[in-house]
Amino acid sequence: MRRSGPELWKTLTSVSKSGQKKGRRNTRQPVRPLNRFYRIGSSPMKVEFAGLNAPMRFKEEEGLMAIGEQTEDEIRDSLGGIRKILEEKDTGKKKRNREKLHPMERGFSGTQLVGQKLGAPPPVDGVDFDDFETYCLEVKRTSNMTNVFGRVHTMSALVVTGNGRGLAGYAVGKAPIHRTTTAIINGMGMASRKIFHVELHEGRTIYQDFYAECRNTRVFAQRRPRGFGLTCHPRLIKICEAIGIKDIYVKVEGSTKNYLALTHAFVTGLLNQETHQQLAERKGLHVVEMSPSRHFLPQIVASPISTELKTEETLEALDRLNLDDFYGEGRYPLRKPKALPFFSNLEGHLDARWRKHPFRNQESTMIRLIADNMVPRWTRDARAAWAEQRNERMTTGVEPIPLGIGLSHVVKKKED
Amino acid sequence: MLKLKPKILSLSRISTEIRFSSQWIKASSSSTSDDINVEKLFVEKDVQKLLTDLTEIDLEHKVFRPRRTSIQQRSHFALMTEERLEKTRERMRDEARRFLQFVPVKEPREESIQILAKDAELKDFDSSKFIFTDITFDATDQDRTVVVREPNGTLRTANPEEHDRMNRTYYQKPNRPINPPPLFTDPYLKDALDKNEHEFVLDWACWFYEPDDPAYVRLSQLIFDRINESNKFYVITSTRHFGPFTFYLALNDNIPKLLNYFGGLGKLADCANLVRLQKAVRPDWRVTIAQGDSDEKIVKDFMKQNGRFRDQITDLLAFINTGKVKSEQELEKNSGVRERVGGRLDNRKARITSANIRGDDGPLGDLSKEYSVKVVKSEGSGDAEGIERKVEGRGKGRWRSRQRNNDDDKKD
Amino acid sequence: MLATGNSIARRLIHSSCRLACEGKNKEVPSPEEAGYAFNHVERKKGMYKPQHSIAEQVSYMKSRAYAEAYKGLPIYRWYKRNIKGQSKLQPPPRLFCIDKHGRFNLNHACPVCRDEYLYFDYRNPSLIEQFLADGTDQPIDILKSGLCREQYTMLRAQLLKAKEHGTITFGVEFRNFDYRQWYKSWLEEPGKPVERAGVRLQDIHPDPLVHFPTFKNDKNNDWDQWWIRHDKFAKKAK
Repeated sequence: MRRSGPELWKTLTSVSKSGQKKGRRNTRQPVRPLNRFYRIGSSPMKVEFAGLNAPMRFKEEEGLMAIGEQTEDEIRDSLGGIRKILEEKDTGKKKRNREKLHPMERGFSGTQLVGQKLGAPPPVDGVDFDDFETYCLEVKRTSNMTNVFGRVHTMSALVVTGNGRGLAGYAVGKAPIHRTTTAIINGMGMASRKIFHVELHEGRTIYQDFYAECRNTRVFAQRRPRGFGLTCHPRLIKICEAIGIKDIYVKVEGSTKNYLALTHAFVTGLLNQETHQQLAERKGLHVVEMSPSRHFLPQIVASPISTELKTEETLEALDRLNLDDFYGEGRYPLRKPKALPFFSNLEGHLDARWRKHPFRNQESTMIRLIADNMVPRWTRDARAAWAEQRNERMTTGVEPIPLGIGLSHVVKKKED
Repeated sequence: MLKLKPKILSLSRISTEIRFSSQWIKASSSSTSDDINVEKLFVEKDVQKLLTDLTEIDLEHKVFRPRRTSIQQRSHFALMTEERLEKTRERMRDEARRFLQFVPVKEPREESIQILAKDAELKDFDSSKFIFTDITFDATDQDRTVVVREPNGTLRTANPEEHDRMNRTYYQKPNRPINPPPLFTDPYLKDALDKNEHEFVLDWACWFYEPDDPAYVRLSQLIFDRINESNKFYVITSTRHFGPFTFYLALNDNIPKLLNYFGGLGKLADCANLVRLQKAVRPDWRVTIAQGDSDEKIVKDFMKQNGRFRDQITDLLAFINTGKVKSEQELEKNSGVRERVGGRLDNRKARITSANIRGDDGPLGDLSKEYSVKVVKSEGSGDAEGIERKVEGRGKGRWRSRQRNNDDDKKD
Repeated sequence: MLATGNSIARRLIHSSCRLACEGKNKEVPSPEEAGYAFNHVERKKGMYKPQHSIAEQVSYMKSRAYAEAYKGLPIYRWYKRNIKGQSKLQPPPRLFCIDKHGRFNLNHACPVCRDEYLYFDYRNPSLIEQFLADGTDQPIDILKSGLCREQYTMLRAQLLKAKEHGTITFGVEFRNFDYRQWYKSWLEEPGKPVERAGVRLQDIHPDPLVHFPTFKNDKNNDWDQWWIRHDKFAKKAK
């Protein structure tokens, strides 16, 4: 039974509704343009069909089919033809450019968009977000089971945006599957509409240590002195950069991979902070800073303005609590003692440490000698040159040869 | 003059002889200086009392000014009532008094050495000297026996420089290198003093050298002279070196400039104490001070009798005559002193008080003209200041109602 | 058999020695040929680092070019090592960016080597202070700074030199004197020795923690016997 071309192609390209649900959509093939690959009649035995690939013959004696010779060129062309055609055709799938990124530009991993700086969000209602920097914290492919289509997949992107001076916002943007950039752009837009303000102590760290939790993610945040840096979960580093926190220590316990819960918890804790002034008002006491660089001299930072100052008699037991414990709910992160590596007490390791023992002062000696201008650079050449010059000075007698205990004579070197 | 030979076994730093002229009294200054025992004078109760009275305790800007530490630590915040704050400040003042303990003023050690043995058979055993240091456990830095064997065979005690060098070699302490740092010589000393780091140099010298090291005595006197010349008294007020400095000035009859400084600040009591100190240090002085004399009388008497200093004590005269205190200029100079610790000023914003919350010098600064401040007393939690502000299209969202949302979030 | 093994080894050693010697005597291109690695040049490998005086360095650090390039942040904030994986697990720092002849031996040099004007010197304390932990006189960790080992050594050496020449000040330890040692007539005992450095907050301001009594809900069972005995024991210990 002969079937037409389109009918035959339909067997390859079409899928029934139930087949779609069973996931057969992926196995379908596109219709291929066969004419490009195969010319009817081209073979080593060049067959000419009148009316098909050769002009019509109306003369009776030659017949409708004739066989001709293929030239050598044509044979060669036909052999590599398919490959040539495929090369000329451009690939349908748009490939993301896999150029290497500078280490400063990279995100969390390689060329992926997650963690890279994504510029400013688009302006909303005439408000531009010039100073704002966005980061995408997570991109995932989520599924939802519906009654009409069955399993529906969506790309979801958690995006955080902030201006580095206390204003920030985060949101989850969604888009159809494989439209990662659309999801991120949606997220950027939503985040720029959900901005909150966080007061920062000295513009660089949080006011108090806090504890916050969301689902199974527990966050213990502690303020740190200037110049400490961000010692926390990598996603939290990006969030802190967006907000403008420069020195903090955060310990995340529980689920460290649920980034949405992590962001929720951290932001909740941040928003529940109080500035020193607000704390002073609430408590009715002076907030006093004792800095180690000033030998812990008390210096008043904030005093209550609208409320009265409490005296020793009106002080409650709760007020005497250490301020560091105020916002922590009495919880502390688990601190495991630093475990020695397994080989610390083995014989080979102790032996190696003993062999290194004679050289324990080499580094400090090197620093002392460089500081005393022995050599400009600590290279073997420079040190050898210094030794040469010293040798010169001693052989000519400018400098006395340092004799002493153990160095009793000067013996001429034997010329071999 | 009788010179007692110090024994090796009891090498204590108590000098038993009376010098011909003390190293602390410059020959140019005064005439009757032959038999002053500087150390005994320094230790006298009234001299010490006068010196401690003169050294004011400036906690914030001097004694506990921000210094560089060796490890980073975060500041501690605490809630305190007024009483507790006062109690803590008292405790800090006690600490400060201990930090202001004067560096001992001692005569420099004799550079002389004592020859212990002359072994000519050992001549030319080596081309360099051998130094032997006794490192028994219970010998202190001052007590240690250090002897030198010369190449010609003589065994002698070490001079102060060698002795201290051996101490620094065998008993290393942080920031105490074996050789004296170049900071203690010109031109680096001059650069440091130009940057008003007198206290740092003197502190380091006190840590590095012993108080009776001739090098330390020379260095401290050099720095004191330079301070006096350049009128930069604010660099060592309220430090541990102010006592020795004032004592040195009083010994050399060199107090007019310091008097002038105190007069400029309006501190009459300090001026009077200084004059009393001079009298206590130099009892053979022309001025007589009765017990019950008031401060002003003492100062006026001093000025009357020492007319030759008139050009140096102009500020004092101005203060006494008109009561004018040159405070702004001093504050300017003091601010230069405060630029320490990595060049960072202690830039703390002014504390918000009810006085400045609405003004230019408060938290709003220039914006105080545009926005009015309404101080709202709220129940318990949340913000106590409601600031009326133009809404700029930014969501207020969680910020206002955050305390109420606290529980909701935690329930997740 | 053994003899042949030895002779083969000796031949190998000889040939490798010859190769090494030849490698050493290879001609090193001069600065004119190789070129100087100025700041605008991106790929610096093989080029020589220019040498500038300290006055030039100081004026460079105050210039507009420096401000635009580094935007007021310390220079190590604009440098990140080119490694795969977490920065916590990074390999040890490299030994040097510039070889013994003065040429760069790689393209992605550390933040101090790659800038032609910058080198550590005790006369320019601002550069050294960028690499000190804030408020202290100790340098930051080598892994955090991103420097090569040679430059880190130079940092420490120049820091020591700067301290000794007075360019960088630090907190000197406080020396407590016992006057009885120094003056024969002094009879008072010295006060408690104070220190600047090792002070902890607890020494000065004791912790105002509130003591909440332990909550023991186990009553009317054998367990509270344990508590009663424990309380007695704890009281005795105090």
